[in-house]
Amino acid sequence: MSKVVDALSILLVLGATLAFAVGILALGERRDLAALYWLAIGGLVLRAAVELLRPRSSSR
Amino acid sequence: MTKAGVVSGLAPSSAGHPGPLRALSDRANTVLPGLYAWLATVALPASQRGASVSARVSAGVALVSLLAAPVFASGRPLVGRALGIFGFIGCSLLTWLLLGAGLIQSPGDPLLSALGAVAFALYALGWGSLRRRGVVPEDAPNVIPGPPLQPRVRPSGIAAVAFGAILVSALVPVFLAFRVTEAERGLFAHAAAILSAMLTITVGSRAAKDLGQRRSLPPFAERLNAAAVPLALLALAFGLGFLWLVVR
Repeated sequence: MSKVVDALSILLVLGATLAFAVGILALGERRDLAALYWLAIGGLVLRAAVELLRPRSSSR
Repeated sequence: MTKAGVVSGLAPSSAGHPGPLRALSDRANTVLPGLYAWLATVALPASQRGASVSARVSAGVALVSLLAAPVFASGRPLVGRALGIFGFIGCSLLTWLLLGAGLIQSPGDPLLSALGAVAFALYALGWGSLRRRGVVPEDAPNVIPGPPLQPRVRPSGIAAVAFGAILVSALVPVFLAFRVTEAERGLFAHAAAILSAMLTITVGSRAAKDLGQRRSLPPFAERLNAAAVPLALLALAFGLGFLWLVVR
């Protein structure tokens, strides 16, 4: 199951870049609120990927 | 590390001081990208109507620094480096500052600007240290003798593929930022894109490195639980976004 979580974290990182790209595109179309929304989504997805990789509860 | 100058890219490529043309061809890995970067991002806006004389002079000095650096690189490495890095980059920056609003209003192609940025990156890499052909770093007298250190783990093949995919996808927002034409939004877009690329590559490289390796990490459920808060916030954000779409 560890491999599934590793693969999920890779997918989350790729999803984060997609969200960032949509945010930048929205910025170019002058949709500022949508841009901020997608950039925040990207940040949250990246945060989830980090937590999956290195859980804070871990002793490592 | 070996003796200073032996592995440096600034070390003479042949005995004695080469002529100017030979020096330029020896340092083609810096001169060519530098020339392209100068043409695309410095010369083009400086040649526009309305550009100040000082900006044009500064652009010219940048070009002279770029072309003079390889000539001095072998005989006087410090002078060559000062001209190539501080002279060329500094004068390019000064040109952009002197152009001011003219730089933003320049009707340049965004793709040309993006390629110019890539050329600047290649120029910076070209000034890094290169090992000369035939020189073995381990032969240097400062190397501590002993058996070569073996890697503790070997990365799996899928790790390289995953890292490549993450690297390419991280660069997508950086290039998309050049499509934002408005000045204020463009600045914010570039800042956000660079920050997102740095974060993505940092997290992604760690994720790719860990692929297929045995580690003493907590069990599956614990790892998912650790990510529960950001995932719940994500679900909430998607819900709010959907609501916003419906209400709008």
